[in-house]
Amino acid sequence: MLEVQVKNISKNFGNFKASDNVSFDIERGKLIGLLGPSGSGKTTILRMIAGLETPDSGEIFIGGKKVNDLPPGKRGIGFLFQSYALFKHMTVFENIAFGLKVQKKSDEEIKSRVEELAELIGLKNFTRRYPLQLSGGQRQRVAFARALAPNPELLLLDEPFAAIDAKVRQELRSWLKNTIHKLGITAIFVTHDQDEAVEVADEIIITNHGRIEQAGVPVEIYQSPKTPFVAKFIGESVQVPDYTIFKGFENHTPCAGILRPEFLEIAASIDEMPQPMPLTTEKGIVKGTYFRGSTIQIDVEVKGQILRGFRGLEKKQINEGDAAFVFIHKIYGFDGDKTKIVENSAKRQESVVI
Amino acid sequence: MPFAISPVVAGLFFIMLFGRMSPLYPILQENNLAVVFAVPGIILATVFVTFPFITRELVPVMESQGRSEEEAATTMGASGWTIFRRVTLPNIKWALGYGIILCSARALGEFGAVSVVSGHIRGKTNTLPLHIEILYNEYNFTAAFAVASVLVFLAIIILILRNLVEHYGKEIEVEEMAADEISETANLKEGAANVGSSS
Repeated sequence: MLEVQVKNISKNFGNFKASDNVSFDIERGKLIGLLGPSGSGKTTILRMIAGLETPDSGEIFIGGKKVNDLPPGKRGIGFLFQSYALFKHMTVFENIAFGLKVQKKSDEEIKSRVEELAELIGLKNFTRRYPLQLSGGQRQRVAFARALAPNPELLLLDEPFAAIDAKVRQELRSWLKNTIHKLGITAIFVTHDQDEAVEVADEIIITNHGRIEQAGVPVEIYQSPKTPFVAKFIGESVQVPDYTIFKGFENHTPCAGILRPEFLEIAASIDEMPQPMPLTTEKGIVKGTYFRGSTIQIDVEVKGQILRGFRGLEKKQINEGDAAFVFIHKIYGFDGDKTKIVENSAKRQESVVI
Repeated sequence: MPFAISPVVAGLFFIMLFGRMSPLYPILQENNLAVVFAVPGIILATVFVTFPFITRELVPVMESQGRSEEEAATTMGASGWTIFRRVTLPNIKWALGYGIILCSARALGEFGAVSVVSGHIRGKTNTLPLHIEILYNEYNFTAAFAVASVLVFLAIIILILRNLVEHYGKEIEVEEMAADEISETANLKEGAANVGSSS
């Protein structure tokens, strides 16, 4: 059952293409992350679904009904703003009750619904407070309850965690994910933080320059990025102008590629490698080491390129200026506007032999 | 724009627009409407000259508050009038009050534009400053100064009002800012605990 269908929508602000022929479908009950860098058009897509912006062309369906000509209040949506946009001069109770009052619900009905939602967000004893007397995390949950109050079919969240400090953010993420799944509501949230998208979303839609680069479940996007942009954007990637200079990749036509730290094996000596393969192992100079808590990040210069990899804490310490051996498992090679996975030739030979 | 224009020019502009030479004049005559040299003209001219005082107060306040609260109300299905009454107005009430006071102060003393439009008909289209001028020109100094002191008295009342509004408006703002800071620190302390207990 499709909840949201977006068909070929475009939107320009002057010469700036905020959305360029965007299409996607969202199934009922899914939690979708719209992920992209600033200015990639993700918020514009969300605002067009909400009806706060009008697309120049294309169609939007919510619950099977075309909503292009419906005002935001009639689309059956709840919208959570980045800055929460709570009504400053109203109490928590009045804030949550606003949408119900507009619908002319009875006082008893409003009271029981607000109490139910206050319970859900864990602020039952705070309903008489004003937004300014609440912490950032509490305000966000009030905004969440306010958006949910009129029972929307679809919840739209614009950068829901951007204005909250790191510790509270972590807990709110899992709280929001659980609550949305518990309620069985369809939700779309916008973020520029890939960790957040990977952690919270059932499916991710990646936008860039007003277009959709790739849509899919987080694992799929992580393991097989379809376009060079996605390969670069996801993970801690290093781009090299020509990957055929590295050992094990010489037999390919020269082109640019992306290396993820997890594709690299960095060793202090050739014997330290799990399977020593001297012919396909590069030698480099360590340019920097950074302690990252559970691992150590190591930047190694190989043939003029700085490559980045991680190394476990239990292994022999490598210092700046030391020589290091680098084995590259695979590379995402660019092929026009697509990417392909290129394995080290040693691994392929190995598999042939065995 | 009205800030840069001399009030006298503004007055002449209304004479051109609604006076005998204007193409609008026959229509006004037919409907028995007197604008120039009558009360509507005085009001129009005063509004034209004084309204910038209100916009100058309101625009920065509204710009700093953004439009997300109004958009939030829209997504919940509120009508334009409900949004204005229940969301926009409470947010701008202090700035609006301050603007209205400034505006009335200017309106009380307005001379140039009104002088051109009113036609100085005593008892009908005379404002206090115009009356002072007439009395002064008639060498009726005592009366002129008496009227002037009424004007000064009104000005003092407005000044007191203005200070009151400014004082209370500021106080509330400061309170809000303080509450904001307190909640920011509370955020760090209790925020985590609250989420933990609620989930």
